[in-house]
Amino acid sequence: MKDLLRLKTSLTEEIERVLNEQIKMEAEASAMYLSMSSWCDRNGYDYSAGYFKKQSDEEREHMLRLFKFVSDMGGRAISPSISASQIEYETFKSVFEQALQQEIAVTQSFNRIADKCMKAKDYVTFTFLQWFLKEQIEEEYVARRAVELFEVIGEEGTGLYEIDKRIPKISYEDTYED
Amino acid sequence: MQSNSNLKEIYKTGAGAIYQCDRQNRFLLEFAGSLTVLKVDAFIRLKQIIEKIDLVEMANSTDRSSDVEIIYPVGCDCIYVLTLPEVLSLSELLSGAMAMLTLNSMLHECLTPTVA
Repeated sequence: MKDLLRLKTSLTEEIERVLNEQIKMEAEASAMYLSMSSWCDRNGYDYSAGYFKKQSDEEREHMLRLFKFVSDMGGRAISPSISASQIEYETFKSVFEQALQQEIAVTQSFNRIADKCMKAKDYVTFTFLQWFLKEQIEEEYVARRAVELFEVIGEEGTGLYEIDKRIPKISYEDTYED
Repeated sequence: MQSNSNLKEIYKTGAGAIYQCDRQNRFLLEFAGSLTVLKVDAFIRLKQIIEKIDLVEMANSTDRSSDVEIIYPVGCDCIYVLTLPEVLSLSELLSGAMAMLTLNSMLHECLTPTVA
């Protein structure tokens, strides 16, 4: 008897389900960053608005990368419905704190998916996930550095202005050499 | 069910049966007096639709509309109007078939000659 299930798709039901959930998570992250960009724009943080817009585009690219993988593997990639994003934020600092929390949540989510892949012995999907696991090092680094700026520069006086100017300059250098 | 050497019985209960046709690469669902031909992804979608039905809510609700569940997997040439016991029967049939198909996949993997 033919193995029609395996001929149709390389992904198990469970792995396909978690990948579609991750697609939704990336899409919601993209929407959240766009909302943060809008808030920054409304409140005069021009550079941060541009930074979050760029982050929003990047998250969408992550989503598309996952989407393509699920499709390429014969699975059913689901274009996600996303819940409404938060529109208003308490403070400039709270925006970046929330961004960092989001990146931590994404990292934890990918770790769980990688764990499921190992347990299911789906090393093909596990290998695919390596790109995301490496990417999350950069994402968390940049998000964390942004929050740290509030400690380093301080919020008093022109502090917020200085922090806003510094935000787009944060970059992750993937090298151990100085 | 007409005799067809390409048809293999996957799973059978008192309520119906599921067969696999290796020539057409299709599943055949015999249930509620009808025979439906399903592609592989349609079969998986139908199973997921049935699994999502909230049976507790269906049982507890006093609305007339909760007496039956209308199931229409998009792209399939079938529509089911099922009572709660029928939903349970179909769910049992589809879950059992999926278990057998998963077992079939595992056996294929074990029996296929590999390097390591």
